[in-house]
Amino acid sequence: MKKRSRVILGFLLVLVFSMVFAGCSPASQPDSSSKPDTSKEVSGKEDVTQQTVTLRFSWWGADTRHQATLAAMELYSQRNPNVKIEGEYGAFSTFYQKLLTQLAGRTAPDIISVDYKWTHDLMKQGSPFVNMYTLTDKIDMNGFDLDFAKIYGGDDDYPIGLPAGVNGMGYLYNVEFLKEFGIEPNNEWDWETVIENGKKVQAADPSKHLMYNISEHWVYLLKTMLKQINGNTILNDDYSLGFSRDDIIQVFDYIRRLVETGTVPPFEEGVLYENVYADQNPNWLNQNFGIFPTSSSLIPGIAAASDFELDVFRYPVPKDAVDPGILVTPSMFITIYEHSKYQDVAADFIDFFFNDEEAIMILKDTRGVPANEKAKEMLVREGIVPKQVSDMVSQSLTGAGIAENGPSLNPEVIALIKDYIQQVGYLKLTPEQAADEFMKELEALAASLK
Amino acid sequence: MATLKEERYIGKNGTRLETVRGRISKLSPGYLYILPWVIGFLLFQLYPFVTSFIYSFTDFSILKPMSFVGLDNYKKMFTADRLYWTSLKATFKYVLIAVPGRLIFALFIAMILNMKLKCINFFRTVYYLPSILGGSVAISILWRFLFSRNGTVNVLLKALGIPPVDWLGNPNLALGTMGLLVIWQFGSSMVLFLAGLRNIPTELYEAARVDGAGSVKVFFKITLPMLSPIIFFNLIMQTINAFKEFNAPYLITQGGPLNSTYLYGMMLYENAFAFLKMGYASAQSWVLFAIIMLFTALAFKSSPYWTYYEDGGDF
Repeated sequence: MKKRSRVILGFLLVLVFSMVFAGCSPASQPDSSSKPDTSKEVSGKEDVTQQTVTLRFSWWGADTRHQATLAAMELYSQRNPNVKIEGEYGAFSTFYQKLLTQLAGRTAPDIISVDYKWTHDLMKQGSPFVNMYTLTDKIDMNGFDLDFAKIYGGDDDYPIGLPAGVNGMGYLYNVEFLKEFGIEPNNEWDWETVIENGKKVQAADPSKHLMYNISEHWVYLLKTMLKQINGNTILNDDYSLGFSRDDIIQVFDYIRRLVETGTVPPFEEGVLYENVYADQNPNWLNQNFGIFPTSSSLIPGIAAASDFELDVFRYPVPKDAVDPGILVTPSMFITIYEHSKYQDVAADFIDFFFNDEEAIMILKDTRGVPANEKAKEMLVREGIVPKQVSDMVSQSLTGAGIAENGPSLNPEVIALIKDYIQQVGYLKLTPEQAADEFMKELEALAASLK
Repeated sequence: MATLKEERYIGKNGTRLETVRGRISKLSPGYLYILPWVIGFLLFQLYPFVTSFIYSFTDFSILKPMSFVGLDNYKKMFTADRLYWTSLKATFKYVLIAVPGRLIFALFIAMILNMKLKCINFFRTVYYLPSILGGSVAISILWRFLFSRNGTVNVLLKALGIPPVDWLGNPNLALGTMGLLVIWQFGSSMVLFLAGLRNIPTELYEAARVDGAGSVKVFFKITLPMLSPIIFFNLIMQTINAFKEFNAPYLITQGGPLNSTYLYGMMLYENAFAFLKMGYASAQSWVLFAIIMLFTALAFKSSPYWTYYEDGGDF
């Protein structure tokens, strides 16, 4: 009896130690070279028609997107009763951090939505996605412009996924609000028009403001203005600064003027809602703000929550802009995790997701205007893409700026930009002081990122 | 005459001692019972503890192989990280607000609930409720709404004719507002204080009253000294928790405005999961560990001067 318990004890201890030292050892290291691994081919060789397969699919977004995606997944499961798809959806703000921990623990979903802002970072970390070029026989990619996709989602030999939609930046506005203050929305606005109209609103009603920016948008504003001034991204590909002291002073000064003229609410008020879109901001819903600068893909969610008429006009572009600067990007890449056991099934689902007519009609424009031409044409034909969404995309395409590069999308660079915008917005630093300190810190940071 | 071998197992008075093997056999079932805990300890405490120490000397981004960088992470922290000192300062301020605030408030409520009142058990339960809810995400979000510009607190102030205050938007007020959330979760400290208060012998109070002591004197000369071991325990636990605070800044302010609530936990999290600097974040967590150890050691060292144990304080 005693002997047996000793044996059990010994066995369990061995088990514990093997779990500690084997189960918890770091994930086997991927190839650290930044060159894409084209050998990441489809490996799901098992006969999936016979066995029950559970796929995990992750995405972020508004409720309309969740409902539509769940319905499309349900339809796929009805047609393929042996495939069950589990949705993992959440807020954008924490999505990337969760994804990184999942990738580190090799527990990432089979199908992952990836934002263009993370692509560079993930490519540097070893590109944990199946190369889309290896799936051309399983997914009909004829409707996609892969050249556009690769600017933000991979490199020449390696598209990490298929873009769900095309996203353009623009001004979404409350029609009644602008009419009330005698403001004429049109596609010719420049930055001075914004301030003039901001003053007009304040003069008539100091409790209202022409617009409000979320923190993410303040970053876009700064980057877009810099592109319009000098035609560069904030950091060049070699990590050198893409702007001069005068350029950045001009932008910081403009931000200060937006606050001082009351065009935007004081930062003390706005900061609480800096991470939520207009559909969750009571001041927008109570019609205290007139304009929300946004990406076109967010319009359906905001429109569903807003109890008033909305329309769009083009993002400000000065007449003498070197580059029009407006951000046009893929809205979300749908990728397959390289360690997914069922890559074949995942590819089949993605093909259904993008190309099946019934699925297209369920998903509609919840991921922006579809990047797949076939789907886009169908939705336009059926009148499903709201006019505001298609208008914003076409307006942005008339002024599309140069593409963001990897260094400019680095999360630490973005955090630094946000920090200095707050310093200027809270009127703690003058534009000149902010410019000097910002340049010094950005240079140091860029050197450490090289 | 016993052989040498046998002698080993026979005590001086002739009783037979257990063999080592026998003792282990006897203990085996015990080890089996504690095995779940041992597994948990090895996997979830010792393993991360040791590995994070190793990571702290590396450049490690989770997804790529790590490389050893010596003491670079520690050097960078103190000399080249623009936010490190800002965060450390905010964390110390927060500890100074949250810990005394919570202890005083918990003691105050415990003294009220120690009174002989009708339905006192009902009130004790009600006052404990915030602690059950307190750490949750929902309450942090509720806090945002309560203290937002159009929130309940400002609506009440408006009714009193006071202009609205940007509780969470003003860099000078945000940290204090967040501290209030912790103070509001006073329940666990309060329960300990209440138990301590009920343990103070009533004859001490009776004797003091006979000698003509007023209630203030009774509080400072009897209640506080008799409660000092519990104050000591609460002080240590609350200090550790306050240094590690993460939920509130993450959910309520995201470290802002102007980094005024960028607490240490928030900085660690950002470096690890937003910037993928696991090695650097591990180094920062070891410095936090050292700071907490230092404060705990100071509290222990100073305790003989201000805590009173009836039995002399032998642990």
